[in-house]
Formats: sequence, structure tokens, C-alpha cells
Amino acid sequence: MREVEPVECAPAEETNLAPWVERARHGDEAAATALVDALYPMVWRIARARRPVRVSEEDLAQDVFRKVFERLEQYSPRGGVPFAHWVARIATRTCLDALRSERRRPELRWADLPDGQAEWFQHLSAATMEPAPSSGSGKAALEMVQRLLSMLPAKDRVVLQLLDLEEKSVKEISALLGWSASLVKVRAFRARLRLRQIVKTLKLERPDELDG
Amino acid sequence: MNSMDERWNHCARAARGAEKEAPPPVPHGFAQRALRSAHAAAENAALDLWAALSRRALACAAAAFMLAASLLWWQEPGDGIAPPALADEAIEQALWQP
Repeated sequence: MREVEPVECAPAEETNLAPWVERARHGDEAAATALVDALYPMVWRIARARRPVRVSEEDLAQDVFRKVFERLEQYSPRGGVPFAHWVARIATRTCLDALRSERRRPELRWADLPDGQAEWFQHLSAATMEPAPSSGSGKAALEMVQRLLSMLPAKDRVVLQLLDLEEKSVKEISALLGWSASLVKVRAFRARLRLRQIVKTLKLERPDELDG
Repeated sequence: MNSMDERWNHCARAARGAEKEAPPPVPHGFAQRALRSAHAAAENAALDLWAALSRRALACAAAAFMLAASLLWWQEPGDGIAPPALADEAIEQALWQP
């Protein structure tokens, strides 16, 4: 069987997976394996970005592919949705469900923040526009942003992740989550308000010596 | 724009610039496990549906039987009890005899 090109992210997907989908529907295990090989990187990235703290990317990906194979009969290319988009939608919703079933959201304290992240948090919570931490600290910024997002309710977290970190449009988010465009906007607005509240609360906990 | 939003956007831009982690290779036997669990889930769903249908079918059959039996009994009430016509006539005659 010809190797299928791995799909990194859904919107840029050009690979035609239709023949493999058709064969997998008829119980062809090799075609199903080829589909997994092609879509695993995309599903892993989605799971990595939106997973709850205690669930591994592999477990979430396994759950996603289980649902994909269970619902394979429901997929129709005639609907105009490429297969990778359909899988991305299942993956995003699976992550959202996993986040919603999380019993407790992680807590964040100043003392938990390593230096790089604390620097970015200081920049975020400053009353005036302070200069940003030195360049090359993108990883620290990402970790700090992820930590703040993990304190939000599941839907708020996912909507801000998609809007601000993955730069998806409102239309793309509404297609991924099955929400209306206005609901996406309202959720994003509320999520930002909650985030502001969290930042304010954390700022109050900040040790005095950092103010100087 | 609100300055907090501006700073948040700044942080998000820096976060987007972080080097992306490369996904690991597909774990050995991953696709087979996913397929197996999908089949198992589909079978369980079919069994659950069958069990639910069987329970409902049993309940419906019992209700239908009861209904049919009561209708039958309602339509033929005289089988086990003697018709009162003769007795009534005898009483009437006895009463009117001088």
C-alpha cells in the first residue's frame, strides 16, 4: 500500500484520504492503519494543546480514533468537509469533554511559577505597559499562557486557545465546536473577563519584593 | 484597546512564536487497539440496544396480553354464570300468584 502523507493540521490539509476511508469502512485494517498514521500528528497536537492535566495525549488520541472508527459510516465526503477536518472536529470535542469531566482545575500560585514564566506574568499583570521579557523566551510565555488557560472552565479555555494561540477565525471555531459565531464571540468575551479576574487575584498574591 | 488585552495579545504572540513540539511516532499497535475498542464499543452498543428492546418488547407483550384477556372477558361475561332470565320469571310468577 502507498504511504499516506502525514496531516499536520486540518486547515492546511490537502491529502486526499477518501480512498482509505472507503476501504477502512469495508473493514480493511491496513487502510485504517494508514489513516491513523496520516492523522496521528494532527490529533496528537490537538490533544497536546487541550488535554486535562491528568490525561496523556496518547490516551486522548486513542479515544479520538475509537470514535472515528465507530462513526466512520456517518462521514460523507459529499458534505464538503474533508476527512481531516471531520477528525479534527471529533478530536476537539473529545478534548472538550475530557476537560469538562475534570473534577478539579489546577490551581496556580506565584510560588509555582518558574522565573521565565513569572517574568511573563509580571508583564501581563503590570499596571503600565512594561517592556516584554527578553526575546527567545517564547517557551516560557507559552507555558505561562497554558497555565492561565488551564484555570478557566473548559469551554472558555478551548475558545481562547483556538482564538489566541492557534489564530483560528470565529468561523473555523464555530465549525470545529458546532457553536454559532455569536456564541463563540460571547464565550471569548466572557473568557477574557474571567482571565482578567484570575490575573487580578494572582497579582494580589504576589510577594512584595517583586514589585520593586 | 484595553491595556490588559494588549498585554495578553503580546503574551499570546510570544507563545505562538515558541518552537512547536514534534509529535512522537505512532505507538506500536495503536491503530489495532483503536479498531478493537471501536468494534467492542459498537458490539456493546448493539447488545445494550437489544437488551433494552427485549425488555420493552416483553413489557409490551405482557400489557397486550392483559388487554386482550380483559376485552375477551368483558365481551363474554355469561359463560360461567347462569342467565338470570328464568329466575326472574319464576320470582315474578310467585309474587303475582294470589
